[in-house]
Parts: sequence; structure tokens; C-alpha cells
Amino acid sequence: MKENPTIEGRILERFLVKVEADQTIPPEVVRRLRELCERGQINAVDRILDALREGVKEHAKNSAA
Amino acid sequence: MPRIQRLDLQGFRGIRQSVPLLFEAKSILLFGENGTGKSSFVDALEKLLTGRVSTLDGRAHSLSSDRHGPHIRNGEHPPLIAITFNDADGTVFDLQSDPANLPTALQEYLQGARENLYILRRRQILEFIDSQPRQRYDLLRPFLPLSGIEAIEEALRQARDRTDTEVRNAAQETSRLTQDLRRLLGSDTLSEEPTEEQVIRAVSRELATVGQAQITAIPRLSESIARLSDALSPFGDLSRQSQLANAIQALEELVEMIPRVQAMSLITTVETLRRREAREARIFYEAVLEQGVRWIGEESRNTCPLCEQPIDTQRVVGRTQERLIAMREILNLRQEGRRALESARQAVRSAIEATQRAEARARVLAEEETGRSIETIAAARSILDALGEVLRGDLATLDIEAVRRHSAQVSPDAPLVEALTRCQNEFRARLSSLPSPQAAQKLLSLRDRLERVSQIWPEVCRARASAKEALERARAARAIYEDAQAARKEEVQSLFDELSKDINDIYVHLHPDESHGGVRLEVREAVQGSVNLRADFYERQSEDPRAYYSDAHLDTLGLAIFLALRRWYRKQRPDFDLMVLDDVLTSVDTAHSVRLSELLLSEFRDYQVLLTTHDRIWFEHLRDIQARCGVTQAFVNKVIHKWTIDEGPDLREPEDERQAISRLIADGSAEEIAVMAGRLLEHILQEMRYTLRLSVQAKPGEQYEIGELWPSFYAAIRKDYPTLYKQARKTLDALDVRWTVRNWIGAHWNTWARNVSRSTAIAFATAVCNLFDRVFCSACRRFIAPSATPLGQLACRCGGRIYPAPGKEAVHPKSREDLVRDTRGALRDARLDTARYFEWKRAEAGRER
Repeated sequence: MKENPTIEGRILERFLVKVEADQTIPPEVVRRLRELCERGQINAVDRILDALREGVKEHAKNSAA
Repeated sequence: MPRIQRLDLQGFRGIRQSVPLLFEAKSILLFGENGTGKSSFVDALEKLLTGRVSTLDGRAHSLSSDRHGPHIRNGEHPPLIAITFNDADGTVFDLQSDPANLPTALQEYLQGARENLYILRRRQILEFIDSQPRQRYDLLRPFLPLSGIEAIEEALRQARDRTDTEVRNAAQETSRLTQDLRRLLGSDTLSEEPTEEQVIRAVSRELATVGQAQITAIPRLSESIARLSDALSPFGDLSRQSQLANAIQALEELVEMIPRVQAMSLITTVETLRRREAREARIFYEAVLEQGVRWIGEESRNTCPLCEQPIDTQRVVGRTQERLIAMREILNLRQEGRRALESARQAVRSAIEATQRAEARARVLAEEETGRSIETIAAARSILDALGEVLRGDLATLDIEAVRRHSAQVSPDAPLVEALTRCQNEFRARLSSLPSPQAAQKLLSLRDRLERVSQIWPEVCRARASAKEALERARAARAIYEDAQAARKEEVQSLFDELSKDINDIYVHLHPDESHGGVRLEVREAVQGSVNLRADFYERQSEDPRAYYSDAHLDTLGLAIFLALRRWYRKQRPDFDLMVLDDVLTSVDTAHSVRLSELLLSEFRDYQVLLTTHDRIWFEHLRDIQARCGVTQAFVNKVIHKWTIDEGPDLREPEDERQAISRLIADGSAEEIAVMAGRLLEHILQEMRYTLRLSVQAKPGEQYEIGELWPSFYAAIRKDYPTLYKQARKTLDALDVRWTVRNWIGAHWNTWARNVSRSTAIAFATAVCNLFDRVFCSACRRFIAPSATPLGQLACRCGGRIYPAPGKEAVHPKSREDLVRDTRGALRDARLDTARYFEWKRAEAGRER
């Protein structure tokens, strides 16, 4: 992420740091969330749900492998 | 950067006739005694820039700036308020202007001015401190541009809710399939969540009853089914029997499922919810209740905020809180209703699937065997479709009567269930009439059930996997939402920490060496959009400052908060530099006011300030502080000499009046000359009344006229200040005779005075101008005043005009640096070390003697 001086930018960065450190969230989901943030699409419910579906599925696959 | 060049107003608040307040793109220090119209200028600025006046709008329900803003004698004329900016075009913005037509820089300036974060009135100092935590957050909202983050949080919350719904749906689907499985293999052999081993064991047990080999894995089930078919082959063609058995089983499933779609729990919940909603909403809404309790509590009201009738506060607040609890119960009911609705939809979906299976199995029967079964199943499907359609809407729009009507058609004693049971019995009768040995029937039934098990088990596995995945998603979605909330709270807290530091720095600057401070704004953990204010007091840490701080300390804390916030707002809008402080400095004691003023004039020197005071001593102090802080040139100091309801505030400058007299002497009438000279004389005498502490008979409103002031002034100069009297004797004696000229032809209409000559008026005016030149210093723009030492000396502030004490040399006023040095530090940085000061004063007095 680029350095962002606004409070919203700082909150978003802090949010990403938190989700990355959160053991209950699969890293595959985190990666997708980060991409959504970068594309400015983190406020779209359907995209968040897609990220959750795909991320959880991929995580299950990776864990099984 | 745009700045206000002048503010013009007419017919607004205490100003009837057009009065300009000339900023000249500088700051203004405005002095006027109470009730002389200072706040009219502040109100006008606020009205024009924000559209409201906080002393009227929102202060009481019966007050508004639209109704009470116009001057009471203005009739139907709309008020005029206009700002002229200092841009090259001298752009004017008034109440009728459309900001969209202004230059971009001014549009941005006006945009910054929309949020009232730059005007502080005396009565508003404690507003932030006394606010409720939620209101405090609202006051800080303009500093927290979080609409983007709030949209993200809302999207994450919706994602969390939707994944929770998916978990519930997946659980229901798994449960439905499991129930089917348990019905086929016997609920006594399978647990609520049967494992593969349990299913294998149950199937093996069934196979053993017909002498078939056990299975070791579910995929081997197809082999067992094939073996059962082989075992049936010796009995000949049993396809009719098999089809009838399948149809009976499908109808059994359907008959069992249909009563489950009865939405009785949904109907009961929604009816309770609607009754509660109707009862509460008929009278009040939640927001009104909350607001009402807040008003009553905060304003210590003993009247109703709506009808203003007397109320028993305790009872009203108690009842309102009961009703708020009722509101929360409604919220719980809504949640319960949503769950019941989802569950009813799921049951209808399952029942529709069962009709599809039953119809498919009935259709493969021979025509003479189907009887009325196809029609009956179609009727069931149609009823279920209709019920599904009714349940499609959301909870608020759900047609509960339609739900009830359709539900009645699927009750256990409804004709539909009866008809389905009849079809089932007919199929059973036909099956028993067909030749089929007992052994064959047993094999056939087992084969059909195992075929169904072989279909359902993969569905159960899929549903379980799907439920597990949904749970994973929901867990992640919940954690993500909580992380987003925590990130916002932490970041806002760190912002508040920075702001708290600014507030604290200002507060500690005002109260050095005092054992309190530690001001801190805290985001409340439990409540979103809510802020606590905490401060330290001696050994007590992080307390509500109202608990221990004195009123004066709370006032300075309020001022520190305002100044810190103003500075923060400037960071967001660097091109908007206006700050209005309406009579706020005199709310704290002198030592703190001096520090506050110095802070204001040094740290906020790059703001355009409108600073008003009703205290003349403070006005003089502030002028000194301007000089100390090196901002004299950045300020225009204005005095409101008097106010009348028709003429409004009198803001004339003495130098302007002096120049006007010179012009009138050249070409004005006797009357015009006398009027202007009279005004200047009145101005001089008003100033000298304060500086020389003239003894005047007290008068309501302290609006003294020349006749009341002159004798005292003349006597004081003659007696106490002989140097000035000696130098200005001719002028003073002339005026002692001629001051009445102003009354003869300037102030009153006297027939006998019509013949007063122009030369008499000129002589009067010349004497007034000579007196002005003697008592006013054009270098420091101050009137002369008695010096502290030596007694009997008159001097202006810069020493440019001095009338020494009799028999003494002129003593020039000391510079600030000299004063600090001479007093050995007693006077330093506006802080007075009283012990040192009095030691120095005693030494000075000894030298004088």
C-alpha cells in the first residue's frame, strides 16, 4: 500500500495489519481483501462475499494438500 | 488567501442603520460595554456563513434567527448582511448570493465556514465539556472524515450478516437431509449427526435381515442394490410393485413434510412484533424518546420539551426508559421474526422438492394406478408455491393474513393432507392386491430404501461440507468486521490522543505548575460514536474534569479545547483562517486571561480574529499584549462608544472625526461643523473619563453627554495635571466657554440659536481639534493617561506625548525588557510574581518620596 496520510487511509492500513495478524482469518482471504482494498472495492458486499468464498475454498484445498 | 475586508449589516439584531465593520483584511479587537451591539456583528457573521445563529436557532424551540434576527424596527425590510473580501475584485457575498457564482478560492473559504468550528461565545465555553459522550462525538465529527470507512464497515457488517444467514440455511438443509436418512434407516440406529460408520452399520444390519452381505463402505452400496435386484429376479417382473412402493414412500415423505411448512411460529412472532410496534410507534419513536430524555436530563427541565407543560421529571424519565427497553424488545422480536421467516421459506422449499419427487414417482405408474394422485400432488404443489410466494417479501411487508390463509391449507387436518393420505392408501391397496410374496416385498422395500440412501448420503456429505465452509466464511467475516471496528477505534483514539496532547499543551500553558492536566479524549469501547473527556487532578487520574475542576479551570479547559479544535480544523482547511471569540476572555481570572491572550496573539497570529470584550481594562490590556506579541499591525482596534436602538453602535474613529472637522471647516455649514466637533469632544471626554477616572454622577446605561463630563474633566486637568493645563490653557478655557455651542446648534433645535455664526462654530471646532491633538498620540493611537510613576504625569503608551508631573522631568514609559530587568523578573511573560512585584513597588515608592 502507498503511504496514505488521511485518517481513512491510516484506518485501512491498520485494518489490513489486523486481519493479517488474525489467526482466525485464512491468509487466502486476507490476500483477496488486500486486493479489494487496492482496487478500492472493499466497500462492495458482493465482492467481499466472493473473496470470502474463494479464499475459504482455496484455504481448504491448500490445507488438504 | 481570502480574508474579510469589511462586514456590512443593516436591519439585523441590534443594528438598524447600515454600519460597516472594517476589517481591512486584519484582525479586529472590538470593545463595547454590555448591550452596545458587539454580538450583533458576531451573529451576522454566523448567519451569513452558516445560515444560522447559535444564540437563537436551537437554543429554545420558540426562537429562530429568521424570526428574531431582523431588527425589531425594521418592519418588513429583509436584513442586509454582506461580506466584502480582499480579493482583487472586492467580491461581495451577501444573504442572496449563490456561492456557486463566486471564485473558487472564495467557494472553498465559504465551504470551510459552513461548519461552525470557529465561533466561540462566552456561554458556549463549556459546551464541549458539558455535552453527552455521543454529542461530543458529533461535535468532533467534522474532524473525522470517515464516510468512506463507514461505508466499508457497513459492507463488512452486511457480509457478516449474510454469511451468518448462509450458516443457518446450510444447517437447515443438513438437518432436513439427515432426518430423511434417519427415516429410511431408523432413527434408533442413527444419531442426530450420523457418521459414515453409523450409516454402514445400519445398512449392513438391514442387509443381514434378508441374508445379504454387509457393506464396508458407502460406495459399495450400489453392489448391494444390484445383489438385491438379482435376489428379486426369481420372483418375475416386480416393476409395478416396485413403482408402487416408490410412490408410497414419496407420498409418505410429502405427507410428513407438509405440516412442517405451517408457519405458525412465524405468524405468532410477527403478530406480537406488529402489536408492539403499533403500540409504541403510535405515540413515539425511539429517537424522540432518546432525545427527550437527553433534553430533560441535560437542561434539568421540569417542563416537557414538546408542549412545555410542567412534568414530574423522575416519572417521565422513568417511563421513557421503560419504553426504550420496550423498543429494544421490539428489535429482538424483529430478529426472531427474521429467523422464523427464513425457516418457513426453507421448509416450503423442502416440501416443494418432495412434491417433485412424489409427482415423478406417480407419473411412472400405469394410468389406471395413478388415480387422483397426480392432481392431488399438483394441488399440493400449487398451495406450496402460493405460500412460497407470500413468504418472498421481507418481514416488514409480509402479508400475515395471506400466510395464515395458506398455512391453514397445509395443517394436519386440512383436506389436502387427507387427500394425499387417501392416495397413499389407494397405492397400498393396489400393491397388496398384486401378486408379491412376502419375501419379495421385503427385498423390494429394502432395495428402494437403499437406493434412496445411496442418493441422500452424498447430498448429506455435500450439505455438511457446505455448512462447514459457510461456518468458516462466517467466522472469517465476523473476525474481519471486528478487526475493521477495532482499527477505526484505535486510529480515531490515536487521533484523539494527538488532539488531547494539543488541548493539554494549551491547558498546561495556561495553568503552569498546577497539579492538574492530563486531558484525554477517549473513544468509548462499548458505544460507537461516543467520546469521554478525562483529566487528572492531583493524585486522581483520568476523572471527569467536572468532578474536581473549579469553574475557572473548566472555562480555560473549554477554551483550550476550542483553540485546539480550531487549529485542527485549520489543518483540514488551511485557507479558512477566521476565528471569532465573543467576550470569552473575561470569563477567567486576570493572570490566566493574560496568558490566554498572549497565547492567542502569538500562536494564532496567522488567523483573522474577531475578538470582542465588554471590559475596557481588558481592551487596554489586549492592546498592550498586541504590542508585546508584535501583532499591532495585524489588528484593528475598535471601540463602540455608544448604542441606541435606532442608530445602533457608534464605531467612529477619533482620527476620522478630526479629519472630517478639517474638511467641514473648509466648506461645511455652522450646524455640520458644530455636530462633528461635538462628536469628537464627546469621544475625547468618554475616553478621558476612563483614563483620568473622572467623577461623574452615575447614570443608567452610562451614556454620558458633554454637559455631564466637561466640568469634571476641566476641573481635573486644572487641579491635578497643571503641565497639560498650562500648555493647553487657551484651548481649555475657550472650550469651557464654548462647549455649549454643540448643544445650541448641533444636538438640539433652538430657534434662538439659529443665528449662531459659522465663525463661532469654527472657533468651537478649532478648540476641539487643538484639544484632540494635545491628548491623542497619532503614533501609538492612544489617548494620554496618568503614568504609574511619577504621580501627576500624563503620557501616551509610546511616550510620544508626555506632560510631566509638576517640577519633574518627563519619564518615558519602560519597554517590556526594561520592566522585566528592573523588576528583577517579577514581571515576566505576563506572569506576576507578587512577592517580587511588591518588593519592587515598595522600593520605587521609597525613591519617589
